[in-house]
Amino acid sequence: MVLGVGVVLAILGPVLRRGYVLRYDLVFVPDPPFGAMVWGSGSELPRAVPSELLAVGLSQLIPADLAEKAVLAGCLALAAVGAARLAPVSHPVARVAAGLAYVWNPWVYGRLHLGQWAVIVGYAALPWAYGWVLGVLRPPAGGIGPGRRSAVGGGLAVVLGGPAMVLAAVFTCAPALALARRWRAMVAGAATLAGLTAPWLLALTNRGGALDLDERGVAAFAVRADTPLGVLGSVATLGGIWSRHAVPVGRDQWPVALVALVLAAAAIWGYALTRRRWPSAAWWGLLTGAVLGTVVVVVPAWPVGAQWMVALVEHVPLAGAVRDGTRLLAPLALVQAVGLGMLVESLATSGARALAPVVMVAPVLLLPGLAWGLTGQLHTVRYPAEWSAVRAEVNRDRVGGSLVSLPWSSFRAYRWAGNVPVLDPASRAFRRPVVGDQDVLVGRDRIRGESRDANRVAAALAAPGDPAPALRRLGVRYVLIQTDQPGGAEVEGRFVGAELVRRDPTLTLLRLPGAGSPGSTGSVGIVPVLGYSVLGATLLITLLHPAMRRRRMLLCGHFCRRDHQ
Amino acid sequence: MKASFNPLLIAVVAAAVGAVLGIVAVSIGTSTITSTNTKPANVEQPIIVYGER
Repeated sequence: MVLGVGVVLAILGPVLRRGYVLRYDLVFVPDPPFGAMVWGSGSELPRAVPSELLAVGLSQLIPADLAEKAVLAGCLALAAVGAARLAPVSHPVARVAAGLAYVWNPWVYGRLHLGQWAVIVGYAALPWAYGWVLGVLRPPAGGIGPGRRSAVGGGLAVVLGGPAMVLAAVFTCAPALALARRWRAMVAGAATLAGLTAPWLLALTNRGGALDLDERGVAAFAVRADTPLGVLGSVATLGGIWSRHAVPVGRDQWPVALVALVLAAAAIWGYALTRRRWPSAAWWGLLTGAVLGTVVVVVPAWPVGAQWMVALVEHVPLAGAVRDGTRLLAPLALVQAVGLGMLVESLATSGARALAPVVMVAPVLLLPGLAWGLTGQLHTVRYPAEWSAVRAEVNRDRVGGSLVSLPWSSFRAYRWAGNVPVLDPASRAFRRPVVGDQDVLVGRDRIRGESRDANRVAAALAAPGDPAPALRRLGVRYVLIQTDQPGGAEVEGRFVGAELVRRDPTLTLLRLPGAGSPGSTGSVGIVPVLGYSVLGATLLITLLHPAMRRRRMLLCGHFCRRDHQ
Repeated sequence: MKASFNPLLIAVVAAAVGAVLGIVAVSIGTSTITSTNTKPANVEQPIIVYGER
């Protein structure tokens, strides 16, 4: 508890106040509607399913800016507490060391820098999911059972992290169960995970057609050396993220890199010391998962491996999960956290007890850039009032038709938000479907998005002259032009025949002439309802079943013993 | 239990603390020097990039 609060205060301290943190993939908007992005009913890949539902749902209960901070704080605290509880140590300093090591590392820094809160939620869930595996392999003597509820909670959180974190969870949990030949638990875990992933699996199926991931994304998001130690050294120290902007300052310095490598090696040594404290299958299983994840991460670093990965992404559905593969370092981070906890306990109970606190805080000292909002990079902002006015105007209209957000760029950089790149908030702000650019620029490489609607709109915009007639034929009713963005003023001039609804200092809202198209105001289709029904049913079955079974067994007179088989 | 003075342990701890403080100093110094190179793309740029390798 104290550890969780301490970690949250140390990392998020400067943003724990009113206002929105907007950076890269981290976009929360005021009063978000349950739009197409929540249900995954657009033509783009349902990447925000079901994480966006959590964000929007929570924003119905508390203001969205507080919901954003609650989610960020919750996942950091759960990650620290989960790792601290998982480590097979008893000394409080050792527990803190494990929790701190799991949160305070370059992996978390990179994902927080890129605003990938859902990925961090998935990361935070891994220790809890592995706690369930340990409970299956070694049921506690008290008869409480393998902590199914926390496991289901962990599974739900893993699913929020998307396919990559689901794969990381499989890497983390499956080898141990397989080594212990706990096939029933493995099938139960797989079925639970499949049920929890139903919303985006069904949304993906409903979208239809090929996934058509841009193969250039494999190279663009591949692991890179962010230390002088090369790719392997960078990965061993939980770095290697694709964007050089998301690398903590100092990692390119030899002293920092070497000490980080020594600490990683010491953590692995510490993990070796835990061998007698865990069942053999659990120990080897987690290690196997970490090795598997690491292999997937480093493969694209070599030309042959990159070719394999391209072929995989092209031909195997959902293989895009291995793009931006450093997310799969999460099991290795768990191994190192557990190992560091064990190492600190060994030091604390041996003659070198003075070293224990030093090793405990070493991750913090090695990575001071994570403290205090990434040393000032995280800050809160407020949306200009015109955003609310435009949203109200568009959401008031009952006539169908989508909204196109211009200028044509997936990212924005607002002066009022510190000019930090951020995904276009318009996609989340309106009830009706919003079509915007899905391509992303990595350096000078344009990585093509997967939205067919976006491709059609891009083609209409690429044609010379007034694009309004072509957009109208595509079912577009509104055009929102963010005039403070690069190219915004120029694109406004192209819409000659459109009706001007509002012109504010940074936003211009146009309505295209015509009746609009019925039925596309953001109504929920049957498939999202079905997906979330499966998710809900999975939760009910997994959470209620043990209680019902216990009651039945109590009536039969042999409570508890069979329940732990 | 009587506390004992172990010069080797003290030396090891002092070296570790010194190394860590040195790293912190290097990190902060590097942060100051390279802060202009690690800023994300700003609005003046013709395109807004997600990141750079």
